[in-house]
Amino acid sequence: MNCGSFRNHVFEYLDGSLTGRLQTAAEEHLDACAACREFVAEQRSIAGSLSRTFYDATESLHLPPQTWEQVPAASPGERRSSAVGTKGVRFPSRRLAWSVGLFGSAAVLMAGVLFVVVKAHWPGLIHPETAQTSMSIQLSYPVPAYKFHAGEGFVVDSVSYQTAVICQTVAISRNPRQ
Amino acid sequence: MDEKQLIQAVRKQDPNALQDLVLCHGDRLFRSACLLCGDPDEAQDLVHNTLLQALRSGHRFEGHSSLYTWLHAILLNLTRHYHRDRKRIIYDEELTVQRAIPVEQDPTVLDVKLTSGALMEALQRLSAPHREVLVLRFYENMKIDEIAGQLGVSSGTVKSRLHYAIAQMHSWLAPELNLSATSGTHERGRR
Repeated sequence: MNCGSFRNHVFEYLDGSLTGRLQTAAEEHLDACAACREFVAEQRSIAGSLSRTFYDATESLHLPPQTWEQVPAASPGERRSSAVGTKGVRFPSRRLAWSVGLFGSAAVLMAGVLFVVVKAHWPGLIHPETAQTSMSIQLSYPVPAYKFHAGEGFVVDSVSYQTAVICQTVAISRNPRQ
Repeated sequence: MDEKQLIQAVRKQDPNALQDLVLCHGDRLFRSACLLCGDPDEAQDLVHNTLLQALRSGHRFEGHSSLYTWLHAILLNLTRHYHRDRKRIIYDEELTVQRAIPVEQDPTVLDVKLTSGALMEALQRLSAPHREVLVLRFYENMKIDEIAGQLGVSSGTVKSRLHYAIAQMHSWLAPELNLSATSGTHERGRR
């Protein structure tokens, strides 16, 4: 093992997680190389200092008590039941907010596609001159409207639903093929 | 509630497990979150969301790692989202000034800023991937292969990031924190 190879494995050496052959080779190299012994000592020193600094810097920190109160109050079941139609609903992630928005948009798009498909499969319906009667097709769907504000995270102030209606009166031919 | 009972409760998504999760792992997660994001207010939110997400996905915990390691993986994931989202925020100067006043008065924030200002500042100067490996290595006391598993990268990548991050921290903090002094280590102390 040369110096480059040893230094590549120095963290595993410090962890004591080198496998048998590598561990032996590392120890043999250390016995013969003063520079690498110094490197190991330096790495140990830096690791100890950083570790101690991290602990010293954070040991006085404690999770604020309000988290105790907030977390049980916002258990998953309760969140699900209050997640729609109330003020101050907070999405746990931006991804979920996007999903809800996309779902609403997809519902609107599907309603439009359905309308087009209905018309395409009954071509006679769109030829009033061959029609002997008529019918009215009405599609209604909920459209969610969100009010957001930029606060801590992604906060929805309110969610409201409006019902959008597409209504079309079409003629029906008794025999669309004629 | 011991660790086994707590794991069972989390797997069953028992809401009563939340309080025990906070008791057992809340402070440690919070400290780690403070190191990862540098802001106690955000760290509190991150821990809050970590615990909620843990309970929601408790049935997915397979027990291949300790409960804390699993919770910390969730925290890491949420922290990455936090850093990604923060890049998109356009700060309003007026709002920032208004917010700075109450934050300075918070004793928790003061404590962080006064006792570990240099460390926090140096950590925040690192990129998120380098900060992650430092915290996992020197605060969570993880071995290289454990860090690689937690972050989903190769051991070589972890070592490369670690070498770089240590060199940076050494250059920034050596005079203030006596980084090169020989000292006892806290490594493995908490595991």
